Amino acid sequence: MRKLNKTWGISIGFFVLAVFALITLVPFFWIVVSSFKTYRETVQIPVVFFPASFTNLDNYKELFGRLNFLSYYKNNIINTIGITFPQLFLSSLAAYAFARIDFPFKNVIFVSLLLALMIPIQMILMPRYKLILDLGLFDSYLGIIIPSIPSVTTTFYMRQQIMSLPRSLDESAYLDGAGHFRIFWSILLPLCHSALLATGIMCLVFSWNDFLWPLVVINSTEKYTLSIAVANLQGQHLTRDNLLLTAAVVVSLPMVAVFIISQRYFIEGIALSGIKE
Amino acid sequence: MQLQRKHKDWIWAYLFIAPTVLGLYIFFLYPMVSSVFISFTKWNHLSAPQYIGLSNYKRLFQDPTIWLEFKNTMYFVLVSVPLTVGISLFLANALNKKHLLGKGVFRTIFFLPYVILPVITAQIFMIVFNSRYGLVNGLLRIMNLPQPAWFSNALLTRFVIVLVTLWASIGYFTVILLAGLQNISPQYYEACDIDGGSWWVKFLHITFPLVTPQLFFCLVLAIINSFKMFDYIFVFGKSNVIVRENIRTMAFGIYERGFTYLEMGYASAEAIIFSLIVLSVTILQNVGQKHWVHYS
Repeated sequence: MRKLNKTWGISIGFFVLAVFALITLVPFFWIVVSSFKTYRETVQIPVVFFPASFTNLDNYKELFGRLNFLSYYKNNIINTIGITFPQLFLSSLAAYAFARIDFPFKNVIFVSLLLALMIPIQMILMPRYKLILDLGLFDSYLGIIIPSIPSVTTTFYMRQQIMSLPRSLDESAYLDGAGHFRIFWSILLPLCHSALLATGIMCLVFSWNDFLWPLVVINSTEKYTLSIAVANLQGQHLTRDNLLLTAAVVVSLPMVAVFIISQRYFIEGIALSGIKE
Repeated sequence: MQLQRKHKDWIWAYLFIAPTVLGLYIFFLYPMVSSVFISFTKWNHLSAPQYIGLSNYKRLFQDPTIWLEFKNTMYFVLVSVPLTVGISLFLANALNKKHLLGKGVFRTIFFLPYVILPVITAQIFMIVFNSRYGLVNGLLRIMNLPQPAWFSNALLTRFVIVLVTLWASIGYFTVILLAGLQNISPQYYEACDIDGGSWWVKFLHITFPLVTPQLFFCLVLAIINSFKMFDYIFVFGKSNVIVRENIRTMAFGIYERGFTYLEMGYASAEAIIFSLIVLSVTILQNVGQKHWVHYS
C-alpha cells in the first residue's frame, strides 16, 4: 500500500513537472516558429501556428543585412570578452591576496567592498555617467568594459575557493623562495579551474545580457550592443514582430549554446552560491 | 638595505588587490558619495550643477508620480517574490526524487530562460500576449474563453509582468533550492518513515527548516531583483505611454528623470531614497535571519 502510494506520488510529481516544463518551453517554441513567418502571418487573426514555409529566411537576411546585426554581435563579443577575462584574472589576484597574505588594513578594505555589493546601480548611474564623460570614455567600448571589470562577487567567490585549498600546497613553495605571483599563477590557480569556469560563465552571461549601463554609455548606432539594438527594433508606431522574434532567436542562441555545453559548471556555481552565503 | 620579506609581502598584496579595489572605489563608492551631493543640486548635465538644498527631496514627497512608482515597486516585490520563491521551492521538491525520470532535462529546461536577455524576454511576452494576434489569446479563442486586452489596463499589464519575472527567474532559484534539498541527509526522512509521518509532516519538520539557509538567500535575492527591475518596464512601456505611466517603477523613474528629462539632481534624490529602502530591507532581513534560519 505504501509502495503504491509512493509510485503515485512520483507520477503526479512527474506530471506537474512536465506541465511546468511545457509552459516554460512555449515562448521558445514561439520565437523559433515565428522567425520563419512573414509579417502578414505574424499579425494574422486568428493566430497562425506554423509558417507556410520553414525555409523562408527573409527575417534572418534582413536582420543580418539591412539591420546590421552582425556588427552588434561583434560589439557584444568585444564587450563580453573584454569584461570576462580581465575580471576573472584581477578578481582572482585580489582573492589570492585576501586569502593568503596578511597585510595592514586587510579587513577594513575587505569590509568596504561589501558596501559596493549593496549599492543598486540606479544610485550611482548619474555620477558614474559624469565620470565616464570626464574620463573621455563616453560612447566607447571601454566605457562599458572598464567599470564592469572590478567585481565584488567574483572576488568573494574566488577567495572562498582559494581558502578551501590546503595551505601546505603553497607554504613549501613560499619557503623555497617562490614569489607570490608564481604561487598564485602556477600552483593555486590551476586548482581552481572549475570555480573559474563557473564564475566565468556567470560573468559571461551577465555581461552579454547587460542593458542599463550600455544604454547610458553608448550613443552612436554603430556601437550598440545587442540588447540596445533589440530594444530599438521596437518602434514607436509600427513594430515588425516577426523581426523582433527572429532577433530573439539570433541573440539568445549563443547563450543557450554556452549554457547547454557548460551547464554542469554553471549550475554547480549557482548552487554553490546559495550554500556559501 | 634589504627589504624584509614581510614588507615585500605587503607590497605584493597591495599590488594584487589594487586593480579590483581601486576599480570598485572609483566606479562604485565614489559615485555613491557623489550622488548624495548631486541630489542637493539642480543639474541638467550640460551646465554646471547648482546647489538648491533640500528642494529635490521636498519635491519628491509631493510628486504623485513618485508615489505611484513606489507603489508599483512594492506591488512587484510583494506579489512576485512570494510566488517566485514558493513555486521554486515546489519545483525543487518535485525534482528532489531519487528515481525521477528526466531529472536533468527538467532542470535544464527550467533554467533555460535565465540566460535569455531580459529585454528579449519582455518583448517575447509582449508579442505572445498581444490582444489581437498573440498566441495566448489565440489559444483562448480556440477554447472559447474570453480574450482580454492584456495591455489595456494596469492590473492586467502588471499580471503579465509578474508572469515574465516568474518565467525568467524560477529556474535559477529552483537550482539553488534543489542544491539545498540534496544536502539534507536521507536519514532524517528514513527516521520519519519509521514513525509513519506523512509527506506533509516531513516537509514541515524536516525539509523546510533544513532548507531555510537557501530559502533565505533566494528571498533576499528575489526581493533585491524585484526592486531593481528595469528592463521589463522599459520594454513594456516603450510603445505604449498609457501602460508606461501605469507600471513605472522607481528604478525606471530614476533612469527616465536622469537621462530622458535630464533632471540629474532630482533623479539622484530619488536614487538615494530608493537605495535607503533597499538598504533597510537588507538590514531587516539580516536581523530576521538570526531568528528563523537554521544552520545545521
